[in-house]
Amino acid sequence: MSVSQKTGGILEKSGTQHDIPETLIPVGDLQGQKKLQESLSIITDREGKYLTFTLDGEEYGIGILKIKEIIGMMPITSVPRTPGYVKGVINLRGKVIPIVDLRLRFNMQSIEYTDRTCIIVVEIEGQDITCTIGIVVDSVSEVLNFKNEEIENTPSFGTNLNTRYILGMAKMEGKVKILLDIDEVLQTSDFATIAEPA
Amino acid sequence: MTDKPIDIGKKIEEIALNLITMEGEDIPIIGDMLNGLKDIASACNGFEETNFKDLVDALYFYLEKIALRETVDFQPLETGLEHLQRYYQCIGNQTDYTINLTPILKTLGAQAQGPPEQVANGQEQTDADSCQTSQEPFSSETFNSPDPNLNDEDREIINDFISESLEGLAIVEVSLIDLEQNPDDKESINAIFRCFHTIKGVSSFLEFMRINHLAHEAENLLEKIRCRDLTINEEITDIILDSMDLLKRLISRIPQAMETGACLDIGLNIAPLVKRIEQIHDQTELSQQPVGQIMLNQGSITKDDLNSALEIQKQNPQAKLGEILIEHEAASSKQVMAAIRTQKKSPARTRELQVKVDTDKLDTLVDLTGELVIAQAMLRQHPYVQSLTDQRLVHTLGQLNQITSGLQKMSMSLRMVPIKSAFQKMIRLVRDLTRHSGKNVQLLMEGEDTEIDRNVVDELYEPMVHMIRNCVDHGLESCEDRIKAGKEPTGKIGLKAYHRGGNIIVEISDDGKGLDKNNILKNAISKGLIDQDARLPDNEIYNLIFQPGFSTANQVSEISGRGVGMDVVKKGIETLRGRVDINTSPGMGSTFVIRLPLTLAIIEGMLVRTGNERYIIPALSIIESFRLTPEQYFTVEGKGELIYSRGALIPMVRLDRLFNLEPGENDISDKIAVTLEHDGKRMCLLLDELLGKEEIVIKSMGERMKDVKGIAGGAILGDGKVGLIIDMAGIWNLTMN
Repeated sequence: MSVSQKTGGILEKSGTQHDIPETLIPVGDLQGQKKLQESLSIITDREGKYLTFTLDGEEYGIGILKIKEIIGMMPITSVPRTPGYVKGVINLRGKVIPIVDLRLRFNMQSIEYTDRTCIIVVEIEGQDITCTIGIVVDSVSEVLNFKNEEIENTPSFGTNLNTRYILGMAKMEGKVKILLDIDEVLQTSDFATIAEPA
Repeated sequence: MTDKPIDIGKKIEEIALNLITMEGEDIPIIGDMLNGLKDIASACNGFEETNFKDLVDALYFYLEKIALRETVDFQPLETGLEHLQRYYQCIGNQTDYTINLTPILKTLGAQAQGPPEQVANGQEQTDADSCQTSQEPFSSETFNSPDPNLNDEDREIINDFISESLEGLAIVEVSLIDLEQNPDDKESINAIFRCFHTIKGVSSFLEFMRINHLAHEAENLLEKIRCRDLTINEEITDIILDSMDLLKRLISRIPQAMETGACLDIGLNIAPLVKRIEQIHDQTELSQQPVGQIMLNQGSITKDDLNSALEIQKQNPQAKLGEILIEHEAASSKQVMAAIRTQKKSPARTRELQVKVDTDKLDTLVDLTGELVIAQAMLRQHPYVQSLTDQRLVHTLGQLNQITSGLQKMSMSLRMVPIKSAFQKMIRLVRDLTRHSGKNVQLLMEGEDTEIDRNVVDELYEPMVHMIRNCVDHGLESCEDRIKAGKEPTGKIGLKAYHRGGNIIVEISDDGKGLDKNNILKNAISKGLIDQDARLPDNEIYNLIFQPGFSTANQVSEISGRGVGMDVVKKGIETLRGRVDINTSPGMGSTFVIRLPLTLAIIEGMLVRTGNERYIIPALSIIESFRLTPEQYFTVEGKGELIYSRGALIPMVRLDRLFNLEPGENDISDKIAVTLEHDGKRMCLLLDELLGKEEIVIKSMGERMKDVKGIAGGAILGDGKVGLIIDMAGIWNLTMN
């Protein structure tokens, strides 16, 4: 989201300040130009750098601007009465941040954490402020730059798979990476609500 | 006349060229363009085409805004210039330029004006005598179409204005009360004057005309006081206080008005106040002779002595009044010295140099220092470090230890401010209350420099207001009653703050009639708060006044309401994790003792274990803890569990079951029971082990986790892990469901 806004902003600015054409053009043309740029920026929305990581043999990517840092596994204090995928909270240099196990979030089989297990600390848009959340992934791979033509829209899987939080599928070297809208992944879930204890 | 058209045409082309070739914000070129437009404007002064002139003017103002970086959008300028070119061609061809210029003038005006007008918009329609319309005639119509896109920079300026003005007005309040007591205190007058002056200046720049008008009037009044044309008296103090209140209300409405574009001054009319100020101006008095007045008040000279001395002074203006008095043996030199000393005593307030810092930055600093302390402790406890033999290294580590703890203390104290600011607000309150109630009240303050968490100071305001109101209204007797009781006619209210045992104690005392035990009992019984034949110890009777819906005042007064006050006080103090107690003795007065933690961020917590998990229970809620014996344990219908302790049956809750944890010890006699109190109700929490008391820093767990039931927040424990703080209210709700 914020990526598209940023690029849009830059294009607008350069349009009014630097790309002033030879003759003074009427308002209408300038506005037309702006519109074109806006629609362009929507298309180019998904293009950019992604941090890729693995989860149960599948490759995923998160937009690099969302990521604050990557840390190794550390002791997690579990919080009672939260959904299972909320592993608990950790002390990130004096700040208490919640940790979500992405495997459990996607209803995958959980595994023992290894020394390859990482916590990716992401910043997501909250209601008023951005909140910092850590997500547990099997291992972090690399940062890749995806061009527009490499990204495909998410095919529909019918009712048994919710694709709302998938931005698109990126193809690279014959492999498919699933680009996540991490805001959506973590947004839809209120960590505090949980079914009454059995 | 003939060369004029050529001149203008050339200039327009020049400007257009400049605009095209300009890169970003090139100030010299903008300057050239401004000069060009100015030339055009003066060249077409004799023109009958007023529209042309308006357009040039509008372009000029807009360009000025660009130069001042108030806007970066060049587009309206381009469009306007293009119109100007075509318009000029039309004039050259002697044809009429038919395109309607209003929209372009509007965009130029609206964009150039920015948000202040949007707010001023509302005022503009109601405030007919404002001079603004005449200032910029070409943009007057833009007021009707406020620009919804507030520029961030303008917002920032306005927000700064709001916070600075409100801060300044708070100083005014205090200084003014000082001033009333020491009318010659130059420092106070200047402080007040400065504040109104700043508000006047900035509001005119932001074009908040109403605020500007009022601030201007108040400033004029103060100027007279400053020049000693006027002596401060109660009437003037009232007017300045009223202006201040009105300004406060106007200013605090700005953000709302900015959002909605609504009028600033709905229901707030400045006209009557301005009129009152003007009346004061008319009856300007002669300044008094301060030294003479002081001596007169002290009784060291008589009125006649003073008048004759003044007479002499009139003939010989160089002579000082004190000297004349001594010469004529009306007063001793000692008395004059005393008077002069009193005159000069008005102390200049010590001004501390301050830096405003974002609280986020402060919190981060506190976080980081906390981490530093933990990391340092880990380093110290590391076996490798403990086996060190190098003396120098050990010494250095010791030094590091000291610096770290010093840093931690300092970072904690950053949030602390003297309680003075909360106390000083009470001066005004007592002054107003004295007026309303007709009682004479003196406010005595002690320990204003005691430091307390910034947030606590703000939160403390309301409970203090309630309590002081109660003191004046219910505590203190009227003058006659006081004299009858053999007391001084002036009642005393004491405000006292001090540290004790990691707490801040704030005492609010009065020397009134004290609480009437029988009256309270009677009232409580009639309100159904207690049983007819309940036998309560004295302190519990007094605590009844904190019950909701309790009031002993026989008549409801304007000042303190219907007895909703004291339970609000108690709630307010409890949210600050504090306690309030009453000491009272009939006929001698009563004292409210508020006990508060030093800071909101730190609590004393009991670290407990259940199963494999550790939790923190706020120490304030713990009544007692004990090892259970099977004899104390009862069940109801096999489910509801009760503990019989000290003659009371207390419902029991198992923490491990409540939180769905792995069960800890199963045998009840291996468990620890902790009796907790919340909101007057008790409960026994069953857990496995008490690990010890610790001072902990409360941390929020972020937006996502803030609604977790039963958990109030997190804290970093000594080993760097997070411990969860149990939320008393949450636990209660959980058990009730």
